[in-house]
Amino acid sequence: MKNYIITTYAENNIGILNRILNIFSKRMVNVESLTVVETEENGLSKITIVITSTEDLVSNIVKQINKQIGIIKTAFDSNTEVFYQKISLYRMITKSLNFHEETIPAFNTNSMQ
Amino acid sequence: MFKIFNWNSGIVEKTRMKNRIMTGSEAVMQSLLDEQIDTVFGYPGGGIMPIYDALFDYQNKINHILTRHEQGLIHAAQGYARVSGKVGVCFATAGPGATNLITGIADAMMDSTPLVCIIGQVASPLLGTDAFQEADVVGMTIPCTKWNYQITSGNKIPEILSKAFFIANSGRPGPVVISITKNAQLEKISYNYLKTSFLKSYKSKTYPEYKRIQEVATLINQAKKPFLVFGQGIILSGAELLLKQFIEKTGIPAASTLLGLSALSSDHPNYVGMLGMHGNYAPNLMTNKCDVLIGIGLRFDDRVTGDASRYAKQAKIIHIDIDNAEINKIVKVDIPVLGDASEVLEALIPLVKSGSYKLWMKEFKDRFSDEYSQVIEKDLYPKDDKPNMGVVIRMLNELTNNETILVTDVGQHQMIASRYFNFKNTRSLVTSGGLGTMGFCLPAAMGAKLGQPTKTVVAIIGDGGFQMTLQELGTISQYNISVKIIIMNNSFLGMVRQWQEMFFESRYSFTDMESPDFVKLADAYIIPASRVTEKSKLMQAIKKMLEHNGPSLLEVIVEKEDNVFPMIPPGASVDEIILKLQSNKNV
Ligand SMILES: Cc1ncc(C[n+]2csc(CCOP(=O)(O)OP(=O)(O)O)c2C)c(N)n1
Repeated sequence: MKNYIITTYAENNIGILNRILNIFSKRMVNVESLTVVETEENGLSKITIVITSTEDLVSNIVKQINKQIGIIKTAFDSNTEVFYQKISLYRMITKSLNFHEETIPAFNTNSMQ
Repeated sequence: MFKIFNWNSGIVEKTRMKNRIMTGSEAVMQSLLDEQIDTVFGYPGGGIMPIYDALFDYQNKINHILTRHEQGLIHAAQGYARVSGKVGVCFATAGPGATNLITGIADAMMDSTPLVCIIGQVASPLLGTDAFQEADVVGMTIPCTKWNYQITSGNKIPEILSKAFFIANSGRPGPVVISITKNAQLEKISYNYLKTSFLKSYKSKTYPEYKRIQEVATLINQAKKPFLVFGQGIILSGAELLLKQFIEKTGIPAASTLLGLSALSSDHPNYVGMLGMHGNYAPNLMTNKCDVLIGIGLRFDDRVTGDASRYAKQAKIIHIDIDNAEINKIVKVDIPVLGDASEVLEALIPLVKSGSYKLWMKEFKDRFSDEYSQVIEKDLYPKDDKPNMGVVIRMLNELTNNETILVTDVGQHQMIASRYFNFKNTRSLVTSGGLGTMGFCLPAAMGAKLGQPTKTVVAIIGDGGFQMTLQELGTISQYNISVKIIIMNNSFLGMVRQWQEMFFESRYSFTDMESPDFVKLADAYIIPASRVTEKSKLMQAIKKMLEHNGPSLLEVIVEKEDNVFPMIPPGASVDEIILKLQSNKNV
């Protein structure tokens, strides 16, 4: 058993996430992490799922996902093949949308880079 | 291909007004016509009333069959689709209408049957509020549909239905559910239908790699004991003739799964029988003896493989299938070929050498003789005067010249019928293989008759399964659908009783079943019926039933505690198939 990261590009339709997740619950596989983000391409979402599984199982699951209508492509990597980048997002209240250093007193743009 | 005719072109009779204004419900009717759909199985209700109102004006173009239960309508649509290759279309209302369809949707998913189910839904402002008869149909059918979609605005109807029909009957076929909210059914829209032939996020076609096919040919050409196993993929792809050419050229013995039956005629010299739990002795044993196993259009279901970890381990395995998700799912294969059976066979036939495998074939024949003397002879030519299931099927073969479409329910009679019926024409078996749905037969037979009106359709049903959907006698009677119904009455839930006998020390826990007088019951529906208890009267009774013009029913009182053999006991491997009850029952 290893950690696998599954990445799938799906049309942004209602219910498609259900369809994908259903494949995991049908196989009694626990989804450890799930993110859905819109991509630059209109109407497409990138869905990233982390599971613990065997290579056989994850490749079967990926084929099942790929088979769903609305999925553009799906791939998987084992955890060791992936580089991590840590990103943090902060939400702050500002009075205006001018990104002057004054509006973000605690951080300056340099420290964000 | 679809053509958009121009209103100004002068071809008046062929011209459809472009962008005509109509209601969403009428758009449903027009879409069906644009898909050349002429038969719909349905049951109305509040959620789908606008669509039924539109249907009222289309009665001369669309033949609507009103069943007695939604399970009946969907199995009928399945039977219709299975024998005709066309899409089975269902109408049902919201809530309970939809949930009653689910067994059939799941069945169609398992058996790759093309269906489009159009289901009413509460008006979109009410969605998610637990409104009267609201059921989350799309949510509920995700696991058992190839695709599903909820239409909340009328102008989406033509586009989505066009997509639905394309998806249902392309690639590996399957059921599609389209839920249409009531407001969408009522909205006025501008209608324009474009047939779908391509979708970005769906691969309906596969392009088998030629290199792979060459590898396959090389492996087959080197084989000493090659063995071909095929499934329904042959039928769905229309590859029956190519399969025949392939085995005739190579001389390779071929066996069928339950759903593959009738793709190859049962009396073909290379045909060695049915695979699986109650299949024939030889093909099951030889699976673990061959050196190259060629699987085409089957999914290596556990009823076929037995213990998959001991399935054909000695062999190099080739798997040709259109569905990538089936490859390496259960059986690890050496050469996977992703492709449509016809395309692959067409490319493969010129590359394989002609030959024959006399000694190898003889091994099959010897095993067949074992099965014949220990099982088949007793099943087909029993000594006593009590009718049994095997005799009924043998007589059917004799009386119908194998031109019949056989529809079965689920249980012992299903296995006996599939084992002994002589299939001659493709698509002449309709049975619930993957889901094993009792109650499937009667409605499916009705649909099969409507799908192939010139063929004789015989429904073989157990006393248990018959009572699950017997209300459809009403439909059969109302539309005078000429199905020949044979109830094999053993007063037991036979298949479960057999398992209890074999694996649960004959503790017959709730499997004996009392039935009503089926003859009187049929009489109430004005369907001629009779009952046979002696073998000597059986032939005449079947003959009479077949000759009757219109639906008819025959109840045959069969042995109560007969068992179906051979059998691969659950958990055993294919070569542990048994021909009779073992004395030590601790399997
Ligand atoms: C809907 C449904 N319920 C239960 C079963 C389990 N089951 C499989 S075969 C069988 C017995 C069928 O009995 P009958 O219809 O009398 O046919 P027989 O086996 O006697 O030929 C049962 C209960 C099933 N397949 N489908």
